[in-house]
Amino acid sequence: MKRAITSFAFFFSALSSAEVVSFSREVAPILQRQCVGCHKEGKAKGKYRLDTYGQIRKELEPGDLETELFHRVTTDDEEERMPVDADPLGDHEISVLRRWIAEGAGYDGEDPDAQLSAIIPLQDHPEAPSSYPRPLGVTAMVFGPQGRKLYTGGYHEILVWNPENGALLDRIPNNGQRSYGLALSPDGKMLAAATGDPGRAGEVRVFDAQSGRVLATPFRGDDTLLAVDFSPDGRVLAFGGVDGKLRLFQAETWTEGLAVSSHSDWLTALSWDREGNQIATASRDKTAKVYEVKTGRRLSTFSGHPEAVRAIAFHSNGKEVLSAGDHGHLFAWGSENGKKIADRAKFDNPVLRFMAGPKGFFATTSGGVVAQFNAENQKRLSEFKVVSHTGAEAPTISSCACWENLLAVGTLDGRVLVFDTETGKQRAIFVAKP
Amino acid sequence: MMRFFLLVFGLLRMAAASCQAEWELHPSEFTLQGKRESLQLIASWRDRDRVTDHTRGADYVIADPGVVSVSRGGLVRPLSNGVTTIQLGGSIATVTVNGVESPAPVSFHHETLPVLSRLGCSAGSCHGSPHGKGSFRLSLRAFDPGLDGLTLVSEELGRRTNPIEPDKSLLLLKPTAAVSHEGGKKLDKESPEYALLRSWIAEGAALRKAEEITCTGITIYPSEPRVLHFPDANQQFSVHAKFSDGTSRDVTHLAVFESSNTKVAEVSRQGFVSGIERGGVAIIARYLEFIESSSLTFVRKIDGFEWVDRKPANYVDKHVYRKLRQLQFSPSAQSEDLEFVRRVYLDVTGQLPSAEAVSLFVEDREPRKRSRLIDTLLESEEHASFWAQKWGDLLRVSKKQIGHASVFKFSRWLVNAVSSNMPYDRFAREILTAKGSSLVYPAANYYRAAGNTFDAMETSAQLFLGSRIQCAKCHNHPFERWTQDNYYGLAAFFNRVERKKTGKGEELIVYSRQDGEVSHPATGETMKPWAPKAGEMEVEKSFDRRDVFTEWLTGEDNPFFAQVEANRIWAYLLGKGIVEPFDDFRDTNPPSNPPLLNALAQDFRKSGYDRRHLLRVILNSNTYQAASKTNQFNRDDRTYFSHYQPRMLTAEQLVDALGVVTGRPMKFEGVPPGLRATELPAPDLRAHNRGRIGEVEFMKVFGQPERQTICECERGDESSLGQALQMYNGQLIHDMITAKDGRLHRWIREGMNEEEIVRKLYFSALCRLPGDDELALHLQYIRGAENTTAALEDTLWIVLNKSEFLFQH
Repeated sequence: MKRAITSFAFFFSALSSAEVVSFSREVAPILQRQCVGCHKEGKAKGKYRLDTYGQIRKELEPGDLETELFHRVTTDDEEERMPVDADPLGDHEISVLRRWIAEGAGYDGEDPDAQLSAIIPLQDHPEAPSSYPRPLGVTAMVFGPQGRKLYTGGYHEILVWNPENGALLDRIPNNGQRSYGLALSPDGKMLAAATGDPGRAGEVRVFDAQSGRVLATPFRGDDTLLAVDFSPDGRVLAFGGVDGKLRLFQAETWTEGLAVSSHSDWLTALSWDREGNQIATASRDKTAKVYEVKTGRRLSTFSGHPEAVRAIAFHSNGKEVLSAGDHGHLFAWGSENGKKIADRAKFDNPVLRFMAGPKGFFATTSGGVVAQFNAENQKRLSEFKVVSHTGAEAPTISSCACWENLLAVGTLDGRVLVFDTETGKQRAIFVAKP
Repeated sequence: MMRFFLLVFGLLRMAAASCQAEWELHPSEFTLQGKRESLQLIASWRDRDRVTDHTRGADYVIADPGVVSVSRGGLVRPLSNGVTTIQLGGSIATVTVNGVESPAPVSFHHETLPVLSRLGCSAGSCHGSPHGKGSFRLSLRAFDPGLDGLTLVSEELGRRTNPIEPDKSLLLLKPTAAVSHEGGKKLDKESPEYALLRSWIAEGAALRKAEEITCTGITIYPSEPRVLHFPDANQQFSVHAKFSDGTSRDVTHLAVFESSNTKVAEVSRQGFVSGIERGGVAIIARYLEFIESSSLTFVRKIDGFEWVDRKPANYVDKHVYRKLRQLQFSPSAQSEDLEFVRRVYLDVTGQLPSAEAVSLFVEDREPRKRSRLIDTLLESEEHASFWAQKWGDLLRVSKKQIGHASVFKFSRWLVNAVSSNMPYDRFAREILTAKGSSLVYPAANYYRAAGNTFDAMETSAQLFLGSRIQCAKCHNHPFERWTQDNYYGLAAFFNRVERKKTGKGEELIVYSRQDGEVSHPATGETMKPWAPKAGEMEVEKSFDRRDVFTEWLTGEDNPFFAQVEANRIWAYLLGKGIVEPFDDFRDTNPPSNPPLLNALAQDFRKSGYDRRHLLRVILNSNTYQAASKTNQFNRDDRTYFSHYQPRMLTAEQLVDALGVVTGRPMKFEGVPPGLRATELPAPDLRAHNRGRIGEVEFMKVFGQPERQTICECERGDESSLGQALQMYNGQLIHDMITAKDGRLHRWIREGMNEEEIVRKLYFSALCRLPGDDELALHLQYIRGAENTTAALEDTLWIVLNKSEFLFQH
C-alpha cells in the first residue's frame, strides 16, 4: 500500500514537472484578476506594481517562496493578507503561483514590459444573446459607406441597421462586451471598435466592415477604451480610454507608433485635425490637450473646464479646438497656446458627444438635446430634443453619427433616432435591440 | 434531535418558572406582501422582571409549513399565499402571505438605496464622501435619491449596470470583490442584499418615483430599555416602516444598525446585538431619513462583588447607586476634609482655599459644615465671576467677536446673572430675544457674535438644545434625526433678526423685522418655523418669532432645555457629563444614566430653573464628595461616577493658584489691576504689539479658549509638552519663584526656618502638610545645599510641579 502511494506521488510529480506553468496563460490571469486593480502604473498602492512581468520580477527571487508577494497572498494574518478585505486566493491559484515561482518564475511572452492584460492569450468573446432581455444603451455608432448602413455597439457584437427603417441587416460577433467608440476607415473597408467590459477589460478590435471578420486586435488593456478614430489618410488609428493614454497604431502592420500619457484621468474623446498632423484629446481630468502626431509632443493644454471634458473637435482651420463636458459650456480655444477664444454656448446638462457634419457640427447632451452649429463661425443654427418614450426625464444621448444630411443619435435607454438635418424631420426611430 | 432538545428545554423552563414566566413572540400579527418581503420575529422569554432574547435557536412551530419558512435566526420568509400561525411555547404569531405570484418590482427609493446605505457604500468614508471614491460618488447616506439614480444608471454611459447580464454589473462585481475594490469585499453573492440589487438591475434599473408611496416613519423593537445579563447578552432587533398607503413592512433587512459604544456591544448587519462588556449602549436603527433607537444595559457578575448599602445624601446618590449596583461597581469612600475643601473651592470659586480657611474648616466640629461651606461659596463674588466666565466662553465674549467695550459690558451682565442667580429660563430669554441697543442691553451682543440667521440658529441649538446641527445645512444629518428641512425650519425663527450699527462707539441695535422668509436650498420652498416635537408653527405676522421659539424652548414640551443645562452643570462639577461630550446630545450618544439626568432636569425645572439650587444638590451629594481614590471594584469605571475623577486645573485656575502660592499674581493688560485670571472678561484684551508676536502665552498653552466658537471643545483639556516646558522652565514660573517681593523671599527675609517654609508651601499649594518622609527629603536637600535661598526656590519649584498641585482631585 505504502509503495502504491509512493509510486503514485512519483507519477504525479513527474506529470506536473512535465508541464511547466505558463506565465501568460496561468499566472497572468490570476494576478490580473486579483492584484492589478490596485498595483498598477498610476495607482501603485504601497509603491508596488504587478502589472507587467518586468515589475513582478522585481518583487521575486526565482525559487524563493519567502518573498513578499507569495507571503502576502498566503499568510493567515488577515491584517496582512492580500487582496485587502476580500476572500483569499483559492487553493488552485496559490498552487499555480507556488509552482511557477518554484520553477524559476519564467516568462513565456515576448515583451517583459507588456501589460498583463495584453499577454493573456486572446480568447473569443462570448456569443451575444439571440434576443436581448432588455434594451442596451447605444453608446457607439457610425454610418457605413454611402450612409446605407448604420453600425451600433451591441452586447459582445456590432449591430448593422438600415437607417431608413431600423431593420436589422447583420450582426458582427466576437466583439468586446460594450462598444464606446466606432470608426470607419476613410476607404470604408475597416471598422474599428473601442470596447470594454467595465472594470475588467478593454480592447480595440478591427473588423472587415463588409464581412465582419476580425482583422486585428491591436490593443488590450484592463479597462474600457472610450474613443477611437482613423487618421484622415486612414494610415493611423488613434484611440484611448480609461488608462488616460493616447495611443497611435499603424493601420497596416498594427504596431504601436506612440503611446502618450499626460492625462491623469480617463481619456474620453479625441479628434484629428483635417491634415492629420494633430490630435486633440478630452479627459475627465478637466483638461483638453493637443498633440503633434509625428512626435507625440504636447502642443497645448486647455484647463478652462471646471469639470470633466467629454467631447472635442478640431475646427477645419486646424487652429481652433472646441471642447465641452459635464459643466455644459462649449469653449473654443487655440490649438497652439491653449488659450480660450470664446465661450460659444452653455447647455443645462453635460455635453457628451460632438459630431462633425457637412455644414457644421452637432453637440449632444445628457438632457436629450442635439444642437447644430455652423462650422465656420460656430453659431448655433438649430436645436431639437429627444423625448423619453415613457414620459420620464429626457434620455441621455450617448452616441451620434453623421452622413451627409443624415444624423443618427443613440440614447442610453436603447433607442436610435435618425433625422434629416436639412428639414429637421425625424426619418426613423427604433429600439436597437435584436 | 437538537430541535427536540430545545423544545424540551423550552417546556422545562416554562414549567420551572412561576406562572408569570412566558414566551412572547413579536409581532403577534403580520402580513407579508410578495416574495421579497420577510419578517424578523423576536422571541423573548419573560420571567418576572428579567427578559431574555431567544430569537436565535428558538423552536418555532409552523402550523402550515407550506406558507412560510422560519430560519434559525427567526427570519420568516413567504413560500405561498395563505395564513399560518407560528407558535413558541404559549405564544402565537399569525402571518398572512399575499401576492407571492406577482411581486412588486424593486423600489429604487425604498429598497435599492437603503441596501447601498446598509452595505456602507454611501457612508461618509466611502462613496458618500463629498468627492466620492474612485470617481464614484453617492450622496451621503442617500439623502439625494435623484442624483444617486443618475449616478448609478446614466453616469459614464451606464457603465455600472448591465441590463443583459446583471451579475456582470460593476455595481455587483466591485462590492463582491470579483473586480478589485479598494473598499474590500462588502457583499456576499449569496446574500439577500445581492439578490435585491441584482433584481433591481434585471428589472431595468428603474428609478420610478412619481406615483410611489412614501414612508412616514419607523419603529424599532424592542423599544423599551432592556437589561441583559451575561452570558445571555444578546438581542435581536427588528425595524418596521409605515407607508403612506397605510401598509407596514418589516425593513429589518434594509435598515442600518449601529451601536453607540462598540466597546460595550456590537451589532451585526442583521440587527443582532452581542454584548462585550458591562455598561449601557444605544442601538440605533436607520431607514431612509428615519432614525429610532433603543437602549440596552449589559450586566456581568463580578467575582467577589457585594453591594454594601450606603445612605444616599439625596436623589443624585440614589440614581448613581442604583446604576453602580446594577453594573456591580462599588463607590469610593467619602473624601477627607482636606481633599474636599480644596476640591469644592476650586469647583465653585476657581480659587485655592487660603490656609486659614482650610484650618478653620478642618477644625470645625459642626456635622453640617460641608453643606454650610457650599452655601457660603455659592454666595461668593468669586463664584459669580468664575461661573460667568464659563458662559463667556460659550457666548464668544471676546474683543474679536464683539468688540472691546462690549466685552466688559456683556461679561458684567453675565456676572450679575450668576450673582443674582437669574433663573435659567429668563437667562435664555434675555439672550435669545434681546432687542434694542447693545449699550443698554448687553445681551444683544449675542447677535453680534452670531452675525447671521444660520449662525444664530446653530448657536442657539447648540447652547440650549445641545445639538450640533450644522451638518444638516447641506444634507440630512448623518448621526441623528435632524434633516435638512429641520435645519431651515429652525432657521426661520431667526431670519428676521436685524442688526444695525449706529456708529456711536460699538453700539449695535438689534430688532426683529415683520417679514423675511427662509427658503429650502434644494426645493426653493418657503420654510415655516419648525421646532422638534412641536412641528411646524403658524406665527402671527406681528409676533417676534424669537419669542415663539423661546416660549417653546423653555416650555413643558421640550425636555432638552433643562437636560442640557443640568448636564452642563454636572459636567463642570464632575469633570464629565452624563451625556458626554456634554454639549452633544443625540440618539447615538445616549446618557450614561438616564434616570439621573431626568431627575436632575426635573428638579431643575421644578425649582424654577434655579441653577444655584442644582449646584447645591450636586455638591451635597456623596457622589460629588466621593474620594478620587479608587477601590478594587471601581478601578475601571470612567463613566458611572463611582469615584471622583482627578482633572487638571484650567488655565485660569492654575494661574490664580500659582499667584496665591507664590504671592506673585500674574498681571494682565487691558484690565483693572489686581484682576484674577478667573475674572478675566475676555482672552484677547492685551494690546496688539508687533514686537510681541510669537511670544508664548502661558494661559493659551494651558487651554484657555480663544472664544471664537461656541463649542465647549475649544477649551483644550489635553496635556502637552508645551505645558511641561512651561512648568519646568518657563519664564512665568521662573519669575514667580524668584520674585524678591514674593512670599518665599519674604519668609526668608523674615527669617522663617526651612521646616516652617516647607510646611507652609505644602499647605497652601496642596491643602495638606508634608508627610514625614517628604519633609525629611526636602530638609536634607535644603540643608545640604551651598545656597539655601536657591534650594528653597527649588523646593517651591518642586511643589508647583507636583501633579497633586496641577490637578484637582
